[in-house]
Amino acid sequence: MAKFILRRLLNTTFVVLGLSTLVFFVLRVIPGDPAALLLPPTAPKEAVDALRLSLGLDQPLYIQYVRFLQGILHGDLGNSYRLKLPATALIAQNLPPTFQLAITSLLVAIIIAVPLGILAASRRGSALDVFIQNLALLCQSTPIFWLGLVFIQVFAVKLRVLPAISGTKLRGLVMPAMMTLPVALLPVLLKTTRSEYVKASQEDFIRTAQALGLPRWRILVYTLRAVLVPLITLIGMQFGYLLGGAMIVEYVFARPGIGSLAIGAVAARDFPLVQAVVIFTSGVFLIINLITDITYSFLDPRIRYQEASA
Amino acid sequence: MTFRLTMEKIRDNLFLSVCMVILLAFIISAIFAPFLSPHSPYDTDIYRRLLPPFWEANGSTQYLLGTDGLGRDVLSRLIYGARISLTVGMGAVLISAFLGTFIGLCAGFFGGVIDQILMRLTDIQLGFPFFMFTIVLLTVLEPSLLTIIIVLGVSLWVSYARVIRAMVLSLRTQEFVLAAKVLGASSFRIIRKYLLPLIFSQVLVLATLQFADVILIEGSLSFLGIGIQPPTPSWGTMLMEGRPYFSVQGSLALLPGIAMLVSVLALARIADSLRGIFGI
Repeated sequence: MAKFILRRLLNTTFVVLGLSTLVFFVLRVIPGDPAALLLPPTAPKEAVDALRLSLGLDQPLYIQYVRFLQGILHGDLGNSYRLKLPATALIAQNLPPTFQLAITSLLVAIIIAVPLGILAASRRGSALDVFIQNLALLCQSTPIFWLGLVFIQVFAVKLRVLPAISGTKLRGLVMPAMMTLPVALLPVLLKTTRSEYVKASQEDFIRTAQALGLPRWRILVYTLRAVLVPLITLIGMQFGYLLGGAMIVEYVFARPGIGSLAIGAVAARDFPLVQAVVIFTSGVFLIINLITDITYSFLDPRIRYQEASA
Repeated sequence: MTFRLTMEKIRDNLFLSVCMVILLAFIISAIFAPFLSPHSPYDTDIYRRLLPPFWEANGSTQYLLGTDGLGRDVLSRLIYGARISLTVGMGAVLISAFLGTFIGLCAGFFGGVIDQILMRLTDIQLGFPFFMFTIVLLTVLEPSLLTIIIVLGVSLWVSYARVIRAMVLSLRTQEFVLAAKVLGASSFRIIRKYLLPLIFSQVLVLATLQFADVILIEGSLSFLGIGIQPPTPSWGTMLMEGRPYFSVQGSLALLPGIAMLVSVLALARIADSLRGIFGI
């Protein structure tokens, strides 16, 4: 087990390093002088030179790269050009609202998707099953930013029951986190629950349980346990998707958060901030994948054995 | 029982045929946009701005779906929007399908070091949350139709590569492939004659599904302002530009979204039945 975790950890470190390098060089390829971009066009040449010097942009690329790597090791992701603040502080400040949005949406999606998936699977081929599957298809095809706009029109402008601009208060969370973003997460969760439940209920151990005449709720518990592993993997893997969705939803509902931070940074061509947000989110994404891997190898010993023999 | 089955088949096919018709309608409007649209999608007129669609009071038949905040004909812009969606979809899907299939084939067929390198590449690509990846690229490159196509094309190949690699890994030890190898067929010939035909159906299903995804992604990016740039009429930019007028003219918020929803739904449904037909 320790060996398994160690190998995964090494692998993740390698990928994070590769990613950071890639981001660093991709963002340095851009033509134009950031120092000149930051100052008004009428700024004297001395001011541009001074700024370039203070940003360390006069150094050769490989020295900038080494400094960048040193920074990462010290938990320093550079300073935002525009806001003149450390990128890590900006990220820390914008993390809670995104976290709140993401967790609420994920929970709402799971609460709706898992029972529906089980219902569809246990009445396979019925009209209800077809209906639920078409519902998933409809959700999958809905552009969520548009759905958010429509909700704002209906619930904020016409009915005036919910705020259009979402703060961190519970009422502001209803439209983005309970009505809009879950729609994007629902289809995959639902489909996976359904197909895994169907698969699990055909397994030998379930047939044995049925033959032994165990009560239905116990059989349900056994089946659910088998569904749990693929579902957890999926939820871990959906994090990246969740982040993209959260970004759009934050924009639509004017919520503060990592997404808004990133969009603002892109719009202002604030490269250090873009770089920091990308490295941070990718890092979180990889760590979540790592945790997912470890969790399910705890839940399902078969995976552990496979890893050990591989 | 047989009656129920028949009914089910008809109902299934009915939904499917509707989807086919929708897809066809979108392709036709995309190709023949200049002939089908009643007005130019770029002509502005301050005196006829924010006209309502024909079913509302004051709606005219001259501007069937009304006009936007700059007085441009919404129907014409929607028709040209189909052209943008389908161009981006086709372009991105072609690039990613070719790239992904090629990488998956090489990794699965040759194995060893090539496989290792290509799979690490896939890991790195998967390490980026997809949206972040597109955003970095779109920050560096000036957003235009071509850059969107290329950026989406190079960020979406992973799903093909993984699936195709897994398929090739299991196919390559099968007897007909081994037999071809013993008979002295070159790698290229084995791939072309024996592997590609078997992989094709899988690629087709993935491509159809991805086409739908790309339409949604392009819409989101354009809405965020880092995709297709105004005044080019994309469904996403129409929503972005119409946003200040939504409370005055609600149809500006509804119509582009419905166009997107309907075309994506049709594509996703068709991909589902293709999957059923090919038995994947």
